[in-house]
Amino acid sequence: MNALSRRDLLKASLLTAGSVGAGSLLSACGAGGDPASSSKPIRVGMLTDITGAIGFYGKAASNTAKLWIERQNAAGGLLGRQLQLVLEDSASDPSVGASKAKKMVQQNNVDVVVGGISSAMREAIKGQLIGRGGKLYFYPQLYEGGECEKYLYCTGPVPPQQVDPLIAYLAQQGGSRYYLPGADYVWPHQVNKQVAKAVAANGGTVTGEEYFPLDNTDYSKAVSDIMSNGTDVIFTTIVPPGAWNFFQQLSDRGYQKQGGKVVCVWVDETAFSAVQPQYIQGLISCLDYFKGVSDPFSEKLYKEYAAKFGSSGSLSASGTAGVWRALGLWGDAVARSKSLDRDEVAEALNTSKLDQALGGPTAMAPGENHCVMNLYVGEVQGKEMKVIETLSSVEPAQGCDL
Amino acid sequence: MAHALTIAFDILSLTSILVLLVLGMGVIVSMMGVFNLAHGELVLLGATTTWVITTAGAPAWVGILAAPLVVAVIGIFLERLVIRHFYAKPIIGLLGTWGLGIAIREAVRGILGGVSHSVAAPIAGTVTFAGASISSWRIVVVVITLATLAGCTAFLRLSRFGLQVRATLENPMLSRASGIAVSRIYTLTFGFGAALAGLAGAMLVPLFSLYADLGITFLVRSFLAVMAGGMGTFEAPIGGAIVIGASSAGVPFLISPLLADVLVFLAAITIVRFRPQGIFGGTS
Repeated sequence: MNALSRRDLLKASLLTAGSVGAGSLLSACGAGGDPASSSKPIRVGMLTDITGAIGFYGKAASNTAKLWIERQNAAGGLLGRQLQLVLEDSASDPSVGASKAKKMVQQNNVDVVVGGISSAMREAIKGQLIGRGGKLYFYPQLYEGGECEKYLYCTGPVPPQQVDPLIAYLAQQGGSRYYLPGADYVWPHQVNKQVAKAVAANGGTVTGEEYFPLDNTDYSKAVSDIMSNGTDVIFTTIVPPGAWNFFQQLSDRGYQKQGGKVVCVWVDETAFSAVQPQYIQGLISCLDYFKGVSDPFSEKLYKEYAAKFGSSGSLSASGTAGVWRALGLWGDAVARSKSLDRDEVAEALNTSKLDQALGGPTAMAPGENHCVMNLYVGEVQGKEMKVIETLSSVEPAQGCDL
Repeated sequence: MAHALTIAFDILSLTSILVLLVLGMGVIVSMMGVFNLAHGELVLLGATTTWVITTAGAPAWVGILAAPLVVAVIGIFLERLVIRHFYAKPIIGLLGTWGLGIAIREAVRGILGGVSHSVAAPIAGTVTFAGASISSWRIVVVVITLATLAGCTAFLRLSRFGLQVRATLENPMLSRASGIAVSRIYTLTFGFGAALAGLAGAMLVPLFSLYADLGITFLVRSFLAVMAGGMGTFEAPIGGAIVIGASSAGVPFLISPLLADVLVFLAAITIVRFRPQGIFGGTS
């Protein structure tokens, strides 16, 4: 009796396994086979932090993806099929991200994945997505650089893009003595390496480089050094929440009043709600998109985004232009290779480019898996990020050979 | 000269901030024996109250005055509902208050939409004194901290309620026998500690902006100050806050801030190892 029921159970589970297997086989055929004959939508996966500490940025990223997909579908989709967004929330927690990445490839059966905000999240999900999952994975954020891996595409700016042309510009403006305060993790260290090289190349000097614990909130020591060592440019990689107090302490001590410049390359328009604007007047940032970027396509997208998701201005949150580039370049590669096969799309991606994208034209740097893009030097004027210089088609210069 | 003056003021200002934070925590742990790990979130609620009121268009002063009252009411409510079940079980209390803290923090994160918000100080700008430029609001924080310290001491030493609180702390059984409503005293003491947390939040938010993790940023350091200073009296945790505050503000001027952070923790652990009752605690 007992043995019989166990056999029944076994049979039942085999049947289920069989049908599931057949199901995924069928959909695999749908994905890989002749695209024109299939009317099922192409599934675009987005795995990002919708909730938790950095949920704001994840929402901005997923909104951007929604906008891209809506426009693409209105223009006829891809390969004659509509696109469908499959959204998963990694909740600002890499361990949640890892299990959602598994779900993305095993259950959601997506054709491509865009996502991840922090580098810790990228590390937690990339193996699952491109290794076992066999997907193409796009990481859309600014980061410290150095990812050279097949099937992994980084579409945000890297230190050579945010730093080199900016330091050259600052040197032109008369900057010569640089102080580099940063939070103690990988991104500030890598950025400062790049800054030190660029400063030396432009004939300037570094007056100090100091790191603080990530959760540090008081910067008396840094401000005191800056005020006594003749610094005229502060290139800060201190991150929020401590950064808001750092700007305030600097301003209270009268650094900006003396004509000192503050440079911080993660600051975008979202800073205006987080800190009183008087503390960041004249601050200089360098990013791949600001609301003030004047190319007509970006302006049009801003209006459409605001109409769809409210005018909170989250489109200018860091990472949205990277999401747009990721989807745009992938779409271009799929259209040209007329396939969803990973290797065929990857082949086409190497030469993908977009004449119009959020933040200006872009192209994949061949063999680099990083993007050539425009960078914009923005300056805080009142409650606005004014674009004061456009740096066109800056190379990622990662030295990958893929 | 001006340079030394600004450094001295920075240390004073940071020490006052920690004293302000530890005040409420110290009252609760010393008077009631409960290590309230949700204390940081009470500070957060004070900051949030200030932000909500100033965003609604009221002057910043109104927000700062309202914060302690609002948080006191929330504190009394929490004591009745949750905290009182932990008095007999301190370990469960640690876990329970930590859980309570998470619940409050995530609720606030929802309200804030996951981004930081700034609150303008009622008095902005700087004061120049002997060539040193000093933030006006930081001066106000120092003054308010001193005033609160004096007010609390007077309240606990001189008022009838203060006497009842101290009596309940010394010997709850005898106090109850003498006709003191011990359970009511506990509720009010917790409310008082919560009000102090609310005030701290309101005073700090113009300096650090409002974000959901504001409370835990300072929790570990406050906890350390209470441990190092000692429990059981009103003064001991304050003494601890002065020692920890001054050293964590001053040491970075001598060695790398990264090393300073670790060193202050090491020193505190060493103190607790060799003097478990704390620097200023009596024999326990």
